[in-house]
This record gives sequence, structure tokens and C-alpha cells, in this order.
Amino acid sequence: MGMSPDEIDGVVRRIQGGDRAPFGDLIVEIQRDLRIFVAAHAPSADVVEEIMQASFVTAFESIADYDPRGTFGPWLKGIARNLLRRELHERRRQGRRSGDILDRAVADQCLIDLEEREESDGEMAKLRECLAALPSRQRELIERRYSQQLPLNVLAQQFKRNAAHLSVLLYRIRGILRACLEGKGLEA
Amino acid sequence: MNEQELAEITEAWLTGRLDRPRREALAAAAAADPVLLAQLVTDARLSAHLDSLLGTGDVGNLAERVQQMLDARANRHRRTSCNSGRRQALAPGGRWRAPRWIASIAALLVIATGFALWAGRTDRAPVIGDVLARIAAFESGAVLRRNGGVTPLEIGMSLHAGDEIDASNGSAIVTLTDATEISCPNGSRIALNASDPGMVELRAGVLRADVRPQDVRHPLRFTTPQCEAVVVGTRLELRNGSSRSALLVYDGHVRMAPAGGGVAVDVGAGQFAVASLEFPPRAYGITAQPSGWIDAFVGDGPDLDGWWPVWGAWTRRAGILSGIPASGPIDQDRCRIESLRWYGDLDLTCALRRDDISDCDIQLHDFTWDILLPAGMQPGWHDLHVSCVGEGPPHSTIDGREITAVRTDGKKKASGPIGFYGRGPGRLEVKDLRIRAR
Repeated sequence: MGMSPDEIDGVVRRIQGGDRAPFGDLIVEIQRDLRIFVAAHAPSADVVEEIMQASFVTAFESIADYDPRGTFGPWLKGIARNLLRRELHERRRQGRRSGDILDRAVADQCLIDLEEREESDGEMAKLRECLAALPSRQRELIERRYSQQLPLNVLAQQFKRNAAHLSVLLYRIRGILRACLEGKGLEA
Repeated sequence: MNEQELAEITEAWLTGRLDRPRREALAAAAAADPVLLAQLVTDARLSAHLDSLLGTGDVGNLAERVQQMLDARANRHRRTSCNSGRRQALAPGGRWRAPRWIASIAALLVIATGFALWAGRTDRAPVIGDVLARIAAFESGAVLRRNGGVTPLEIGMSLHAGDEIDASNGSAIVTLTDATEISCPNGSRIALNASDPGMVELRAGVLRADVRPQDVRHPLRFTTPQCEAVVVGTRLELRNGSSRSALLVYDGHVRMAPAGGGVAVDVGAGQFAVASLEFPPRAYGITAQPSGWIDAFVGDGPDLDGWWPVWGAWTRRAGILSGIPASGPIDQDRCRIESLRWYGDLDLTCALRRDDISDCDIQLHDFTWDILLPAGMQPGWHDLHVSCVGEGPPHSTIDGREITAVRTDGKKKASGPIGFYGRGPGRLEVKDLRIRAR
């Protein structure tokens, strides 16, 4: 499992030397940590994907600026943080212009978290614990909903329930997870 | 907004499928209710967390998208930096602005690069495992679903772990490598389990299988969300219905185990069993033996007493079997329930109520006879009596008045299921159902 920071730096040096090929390996290696960080502060899965892509593109284009001292992960997270901050400000602006209270409120909360909360691994660990505590059927539903990104009508076929019923189930399960996270001293 | 509405609208919002009017309604509700707003914000955040935690995080795809973006940028850079000395317009600030024809070529190159990467994906696709099965026959409309793609079926087409045969529009027969034959009638979907070559998933509808003798240490298994059928060698039919599964065994024997664990039941030749997440599987004889009167649907509970809801939603409460018509594209406004047990000669009595059900009939002997209930019946319960002996038409009455039975052209009488059918937006109810096999 996983390259050490020194090994990552070794790959980065090759890229800095003009060998673009290992950049894909670097993405594979580091994307999970970055995804957890971005997701902890992003308003939606779509934004997570956008920021992930943009972060790696920016990192590649700025890779000459990176000083290999075993800190590639934090350096990349810094790029992601800046991109995310810009995106959230933009969404807040748009929310104000359009009067969309939902976008604005979500963006506000994400910005507060981005400025005030650093930790993301611990939050995900707690969420994992809360998921593990769900009854198996509920866990299966939430896993299929989020791991396979299946539309509700497809899930409804798989679970032999109608889509409306599944909406309610998912809604309630998120409620259970919210309560569980609050019990662990966290807000989602 | 009640819980159901809120749940649906929240789900649509979280998945980006909320239309403008409903979005405005949700925003208005959130603006008026700070608790709801906080909950929605939290749900959005939680959803993003779950996406990241549980999502497959299509790493290869992400790397590929990043590479594509870099390629596109590089192409754009090459295109914009190698003009042939022709004077080019400069954008404000002194930056060179590509004329439209160059921009068009660059765009085409980006598309071509993207296409080349996309086309190249097949070369880099994960190695597909062994051939587990082949298509033996099919009716057009049935398709193969593999790795997110859809391919029309071909005779002899090889199937691998993870492949799904979708016979929602058509039908197919699949032969496993040991010559076990699995038939997927119209409306069914089966998949070869991605990690277990001895497991076939029935994802929708019905499958019928003629299973070759299996190694008892590695028997073939058919699964539905509600059960697992472990097969050593037999002819069987497995149905995956709304919240329950039914297994009919014609030869051999099959062990039916609830999907969530619990007591399994051995289903022998000539038996069927029904499993659900709500009640343990129970085996019944398929063919009704001559008996005294047997009461059906007594009391309430999720078990439909060995009956199979074909269309619509059926419940049993306080001794009343109640069917609400379905809303799908094919079964729109129809409800139908049939006995899994087959009856030959029989007597049947029940009370029947139809609320906004225009067409209603009782089907005997696997559709050999249709007993059509007259239109324009008064609301409320009506007593139905049916007696069917020998080759003649069944004698049937409703509230003491004789009603007609229609024979399906050319069909010979044989033992088969009894069905209750209704059409309309309302509800069909049956109570005090008693059957005597003769």
C-alpha cells in the first residue's frame, strides 16, 4: 500500500525532469487522500470531481514550483484549498445574485469549514463508524446509492421498492447518520 | 411539506435533478424554516462525504480526464504558438487571439484527442475473465450490459463475470459451460456474479433453469435480493418480485436460504417456496391435492399465503387481500395476483369488492378460463362462487346470479394457477377466500 513521501518525491522529480508518463501513477497514488480532503469541504459530489481534476491539472502545470521535501500531499491540498475557496466564493456570489438561499447557505457553511476546520481523516473515520453501525439493509442501500451512483429508479428495481419509498428511506438513513455524527461531536 | 415530499425533493436536489419550480419551492420552505435549511445544508455535506467515502472514485477515469485536459491544453498551446507568419489579431493586453479557423481546428483536435483516448480505452480495459456462459438463443430486444455499455445479443456470444443479460424487451437463453440452460423470459434480467463464477443473480423478473448435476462442494447458486437458491441439479423457476422471491422446483431439490441469513428450507420436486426479508421461506406443494375447504389470507402479515403478486401492490390485512394497480409503462392500471399452487378441478368461494376497477376477472387453470365480472356492479362486497369439474365450463355466480366464463381459444384444461385480475386506477379486494381442490 502507498508510496512514502520520499517515493512520491522521486516520481515528482521524474515529472519535473520532463517525463510526463508517471503523472497518471501519481494521480492514482494520491487521489484518495485528496478526495477525502476536498469532500470534507465541498458542497456536492460534482464540485468534488471538478476540484479534483482542476487540482491535478494545476499541480502538473506548476510542478516546477514544488520543492521536493516530502510535502507533495500538503502542497497539492493547498492547491485544492485555493481552488475550492474560489469556487465557493463564486457560488456564494451566484446565490446572492439569484436569491438562491440553498446554494448560498451550503457555500457559506463550506467556506466556514474550509477556514476553520483542518482535519478530514478523522471525520471520515467517524462517518465510517456510523455507517458500520447501520442495519445491513440500510447500509447496503446507502452504499449502492453512493458507491455506484445509481439513479433512484434503478435502485428501486434492485430493492423492489418504489422510488418514492427509497427516497424516504435514504432521507431517514441520512438522519440517522447525522445524529450519529452529532453524537460523536461532529456535524457532517 | 410532508416527509415523503421532503424526502423526494431533497433526493432530487442532492442528485442535481430538481426542476426549477420544485427548487424554488424547496428554497422557499428552507427560507421560512431555519431548522430545515440547516438540515439541507448538512445533508448536502453528508452526501458529498458519502460520495467520497463510498464512491469507487473511478481513479483510472480521473487520471484519464486529467490527461485529456492536459492534452487539450497542450494542443491548444501548440496550435496557438505555431502560426505561419500570417499576421494575427492581438487581444487586449497584447495576448495573441486565435482566429476562428484555428480555434475550429484546435477544437477538432481536442475532440479527436478525446476520441482517440476514448477509443484507446478498450485496449486498456481490464482483462475480462473466463468465458462462463454463451448466448444460446434470444429474441431481438434483449441486450448484453457490460462495463456500462450495451450490446445487442448474438448467438454464441461469450459471457463473462459481471455481464448482465437484460431481457426487459425480448428474451434470451443462456447456456453455462456445463450445459446448464437458463431461460430469461421477457421482463427478466440476470447477471453472472462479478466475483463468484458459481453465482447467477436474478435482478428482475423470472428465470427458468435446467441445471446439470453439480459438484456438491461447489453448487450453482441463484440469488435475488431476498434469497439464495443453492442448486445441485434440477429444473426450477425462480421469480424475483416486489419484496419477495418464489422458487418452483420441478425436478431434484434446491435449498432456499433467506438473503439476510436465517433458516433455509429444502424445496423438493413438485414444491415451491416463497422468501422475503420479512418472513422465513416456507415450502408448499405445487399441485393442489384433493382436500377439504382451505381458507386463504386469514389474518394479516407480509406472507401472501403462497400467492404471487404479478402486477400491482398486494397486501393482506385482517383477512382482506387488497391489490392496488401498478403504474409502470406496461402494467399501467393493472393488478393481478396468482396462486403459486396449481389447481385442477376445484370449488372456490370468496367475497370480492372493486373500487374504481373497471375490468375484473377470475382466471382459472393458467388462463384456460376467464370468469368476467359484470360491469356496473354496485359498490360493496359481492359473493363469488366458482365450481369447475371436468372439461365443461366452470359454473360461477356472483351474488347468486350466474356469470359467464370465457375459454381461451384452443387451450386445453390443465392444472394451473388461479388468478385475480383487475384494471383501473382503484383497488381490488378479496376476503373469505376458500378453495377446495377436487
